[in-house]
Amino acid sequence: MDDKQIVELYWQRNEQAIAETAAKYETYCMKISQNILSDRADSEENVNDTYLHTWEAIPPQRPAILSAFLGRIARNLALNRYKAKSAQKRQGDAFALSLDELDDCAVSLPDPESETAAAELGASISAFLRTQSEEVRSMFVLRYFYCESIEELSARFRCGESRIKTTLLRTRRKLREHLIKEGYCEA
Amino acid sequence: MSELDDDLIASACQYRAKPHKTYLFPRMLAAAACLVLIATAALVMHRTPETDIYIDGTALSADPVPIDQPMPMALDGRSTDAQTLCLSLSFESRTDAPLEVSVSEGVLDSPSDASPRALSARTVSAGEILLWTIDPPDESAVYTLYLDGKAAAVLRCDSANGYWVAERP
Repeated sequence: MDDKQIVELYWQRNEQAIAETAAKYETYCMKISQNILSDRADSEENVNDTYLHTWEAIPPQRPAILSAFLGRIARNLALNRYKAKSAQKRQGDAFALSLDELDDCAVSLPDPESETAAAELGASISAFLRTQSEEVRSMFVLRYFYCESIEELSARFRCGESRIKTTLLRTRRKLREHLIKEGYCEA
Repeated sequence: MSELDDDLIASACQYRAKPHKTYLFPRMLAAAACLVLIATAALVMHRTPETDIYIDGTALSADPVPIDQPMPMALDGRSTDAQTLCLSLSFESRTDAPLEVSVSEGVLDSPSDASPRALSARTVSAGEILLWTIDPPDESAVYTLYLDGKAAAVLRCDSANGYWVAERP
């Protein structure tokens, strides 16, 4: 079943929509959850929450790209779960490592809770990423959105880990310059 | 990062690395260059003898060395026959090992021998002088000097110029 048909099932409030979503995107959502939570049971729970949130979000929303929509929900839920789990202590896991890397580009939003500000920042980062090559853009998104490990990226891009690290470092530096120009970061 | 555009999120996941191009020509060129280098090194090593040979005090090289003979011999004082060919030989080896010297024709004497011992093969040390006597020399023949069993020099008559020459084989 294609994505448009699945979205249509949600709009019809047909519970088959969840079954179809699970059939097509369970592995995808599981991977994102697992990358962040590093725990199978938590990740499975997170994937179920993703279906529930999707059910609640469609309608009124009608996502143009269902995979990105699901990925974003799975990621946000996993991040919330991760924050709750690591409230007492920062975990030295793969996800924490990717967060550390992004410290270079830490931004100062006037109201961090504001959805508008976050959306504008997302648009700015997207605009920056569109100026990069497809390879660099994909590498960056896979690392910092999907939270894939350096080893996984190395296998996916068929190159050494050092090349992945160097490319990401350069891209973060460029992003930082871009965010300084846009006024999101202090020089 | 959660607010990235949908298309960026979706396309990143579908990204497949392009297979690396294999540049055949530079690889072949490099391999050929290595082969040439190895072949050249082998050739140079093969052509550079481990022992330098001096005939009548002149180092033997790839070019023929003319020998001002037959003429009355002065080195040992024993040969006074104008048709006797007598050469003084000395050797400089890169190793200290003694050399086994032999000749296809004629005899080898050493000035240091207490009594004359005409032999066709002798063992000498570096710096030691030998006298190679061919009596009488045949102008149509080619005489060979062997070092450790390998041909190291040949002696032939240059009939056009009317003298004997020594050269590497």
